[in-house]
Formats: sequence, structure tokens, C-alpha cells
Amino acid sequence: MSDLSRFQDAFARTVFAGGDAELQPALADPAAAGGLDVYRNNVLTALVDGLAKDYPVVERLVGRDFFRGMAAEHVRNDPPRSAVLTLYGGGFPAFVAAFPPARDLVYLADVARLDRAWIECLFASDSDPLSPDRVGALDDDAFAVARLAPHPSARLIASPHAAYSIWRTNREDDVVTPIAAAGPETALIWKNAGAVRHRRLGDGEAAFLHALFSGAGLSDAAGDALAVEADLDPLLTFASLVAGGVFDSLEGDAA
Amino acid sequence: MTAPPPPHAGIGLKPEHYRAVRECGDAGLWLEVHPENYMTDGGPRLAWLELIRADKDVSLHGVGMSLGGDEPLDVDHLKRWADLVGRFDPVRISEHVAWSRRGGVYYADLFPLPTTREALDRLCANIDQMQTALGRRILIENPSLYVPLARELDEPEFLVEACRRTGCGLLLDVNNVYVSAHNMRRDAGAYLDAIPADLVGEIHLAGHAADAGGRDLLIDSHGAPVADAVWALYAHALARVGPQPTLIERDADIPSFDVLMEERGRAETALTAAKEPVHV
Repeated sequence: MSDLSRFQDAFARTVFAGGDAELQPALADPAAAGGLDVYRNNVLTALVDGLAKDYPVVERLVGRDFFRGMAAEHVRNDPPRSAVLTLYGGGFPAFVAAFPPARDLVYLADVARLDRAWIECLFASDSDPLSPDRVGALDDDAFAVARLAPHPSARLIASPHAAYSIWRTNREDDVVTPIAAAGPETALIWKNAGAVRHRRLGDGEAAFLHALFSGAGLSDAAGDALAVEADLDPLLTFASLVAGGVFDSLEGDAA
Repeated sequence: MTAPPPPHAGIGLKPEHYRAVRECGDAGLWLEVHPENYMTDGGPRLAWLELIRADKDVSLHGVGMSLGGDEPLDVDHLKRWADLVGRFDPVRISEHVAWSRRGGVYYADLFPLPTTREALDRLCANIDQMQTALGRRILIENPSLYVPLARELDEPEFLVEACRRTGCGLLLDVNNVYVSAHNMRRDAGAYLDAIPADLVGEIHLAGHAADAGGRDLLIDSHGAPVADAVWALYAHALARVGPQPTLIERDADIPSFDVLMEERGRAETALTAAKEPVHV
């Protein structure tokens, strides 16, 4: 191994894991090792700040100090693998779910998933969604078996708790509104004309979209929806989702 | 033959200023972005940059290539870079003389490089790889330093040698010269005097801060106006290398667009006044 590689291994361990004994031989002036704290601080601060920006509701719920402690531990456990930090932190919701000090907040990990879905949605492709005209042009047979992929920006977040209601009021309201529901809740987050949209789905609608996003054909998905909500109108539900821009273009559509 | 007009001053493009920049009628204003922030499938940053690029020059200034890392460059990252270069046709491309990637982890900072012959060879190989992948000449930026490392060459000598061997140019960050000179107990003026004028293709100006930890260190924070001492060093640099496109960098505690443009105006005035250098 080259001297340069040995130095870089030691430096990375020193500023990321603490302790600077093994780096001493590489320093021209060991007395100036205090400067290493600048790098230690930069690395952690930049990444923790980034997580705080991307998980604003989680931070609001647990408070700044708790959040920064939790985020710093996540950064050490699961540092970035890419120089593109815009979407760093995808593993944070799972980390939160397994973080013992947060165990009492049973909905916190699902709130984190909603924060994550919002940021992924914002930076997803702005490609044209499936157009109502394109759907209208399908004959009955093709319509029944049509498989519709979600628009690249669309995310379904299901929770056994009232995670979406908690998330929405903490994200949008200066003074949070009391949450009446206990859950479960499923939310849809998607992008329409460049803006992130989100709403809570009814039970039938949630089953319908879950089936479609899992690759089921339209008539099978409608069956799933009716099984949980017998008086749902699947056609009307579908038309409104298409009009909202929730689906990706069908194969063969011009982009 | 008339002399070309002097180069202009630009600002680092921040999301807070997208609309104001788009609506700004100053023909000389150019913008610099960190390409990493635009490596997304879609979203508002790319949409704004398209609008702004329609009538203003844009330069790409990378922070994540890890040119000094003792391993080949990340080819996925190079591919994303090449896509942005193709899409936005930047007027200049630059990266840092630093490293940030090791063993598959990205450390999100600019770690320092010892100025050894071995490090120089690695840096040159990586600059070659980047220039080849992008099909463009790049500029490399002098670092801000907080710990003294092994040294076989003085830093200007190290940078100049890298430029001569790879054909790249220098992005002279005057604030970094000032900060490193203070932290490493070097002479900032002597540093500038060791930089050949013909290598410099861009200049950076930024604010710094005293170390909050109480050590006698200056931190390259980009979170304050450019210090008077750095403006004085900038005048020294202009007198030596001549007018070069100059960027006001501000990444924290972002002021209003108008306030930032006033600071940019100060650089613009200095550039207009600067004479071509006497080559020595």
C-alpha cells in the first residue's frame, strides 16, 4: 500500500471515528493536531444539517437536540456512498424505527418515511404523466388488463398509525391541529406540474393503487378495492387519479 | 486590434436567489453552481438552471470528485458530470485539490492532500481521467488547510506542476490563500507571487470566520462578507495575474440578492480597473 493510501485511511478513521494517535506520523507538526477537529466538525455538521433539512417533521416532533444526536448516530452507521447528497439519508426511516430512545414514538418511523417520500418526489423526473386521452383511446379489452406504473414521483406510504395526519399538520401548520384518528392511514405523495402534492387515501382507493403499483391489471385492482370498500366507484376513482397525474406514461407513449 | 472587454464578476447561485437572478438584466453576471446539487432526475433546481442558463453564463464547480483520493475516480460520478456538461455547456469547469472518497464512503468535506511526489502523481492521473471523461480542460482550486501535512514541494510548486503535466489551469481562491497562510503560518503575498499568471483561469472570493473552538485558526466558512484583508490580497492577485472571472462565494447565512450584488459590484469595479499583468 502506498504512503498516500495509508495516510488517507488513517485520516478518514481519525476524523470519522475519533482518536488521532495513528495519524501523528503524517502530521508535519503534531502539536497542530487540533486542526483535525475542524474536519471532524465539518463532516458531521454538513451531513446532520442535510438530514435536518430533509426530515423537518421528524425534527419538529423530537426537538433539535434529540434529532441531531439521532442523525449523527445514523451518519456514523450509514455514511454517504455518493457525492450526490440530495438524496442521502434513504436509510434514515429504518434507522429511526430501530433507534431505542425513540421507541415510544411508535409513528415516528412512518413520519420519517413521509418526509423521505416528499424529498424523493420533489427531485424525481418531471416526465409527463399518463394522459386521460391516452387512457380513453384504449379499447375495453386493453383497458381491463392495462398495467399502470406509478409516475416516477409517486409514493404510497401506508402506516398502522395516523402517521399522515400527524405529518401533515406538523409540516404545514404553525400550530398543530389535534389528531382525532388513530389510524391506519395510507397517503399518496406525487408531483403535478412541478409541485409536490399529497393526500390521505380512502381504504378502497388505497387498495386500488397498491394493487396497480404492484403490477396488477386494472380489473384485478378494482376487485381488490371493492373487497375493502364495496360502494367505491372504481372508474370514477381511476379517472380522478389519472387526471391528477399519478401514473407514468404507457409503454410506447411519446415522452 | 481592440483589447477584449475585461472579464466579469459572478456569484454562486443559491436557490434563494433563483428568481432574482433570472430577472436580473446585468449582461455580465455569471453564475457558478455545485454540479452535485443538480444531479437529480428532475425537480426545481434543474428547471431553474435551464431558465437561467438561457441568457447567462454558468460554470460548474465540483466538490465531490475527490481528485486527490488515492484511487481512480468514481465512474458513475464522472458520467453524471458529463451529462450536466452536455446539458448546460458550462463556460468553465473546476474541482478542488482535495480528497473526499475512500473505500466507497463519501465524506462530504474537502480533506487535505500532502504535497508529496506520490500525491502529485495520483492527482495528475485523476485530473487526466476527469479531463478525458469530460472532453474539457478543468481548473483546480488551491485548498484551505487546517493541519500541516507531509511536504516535499511547496504548495504553489505542487499546483503548478500538476497544471503543467495535465494541461489544466488554476482556480485561484484568494480566501483560501489567506486562510491557509494564517493557519499554516505562510506568507500569502509570497504564495501569490509564486503563481504564474498564465495558469489562472478564475478567481474565488469568500468570507471566513474565526474557529469557534478557540484555536488560532481561520475557517473557510463562506458564511460572511469577504474580509478587507482578502480584498487587499485580491488587489495583489489582480495586479499580478491580470483580470480574471471572479466569483463571490456565499454558502451560509445567505444575504439578499441585492446585498450580494453590491459585494459582486466591488469585484466588478476592481476587474474593470485591473490592467493586464506584466509577465515575468
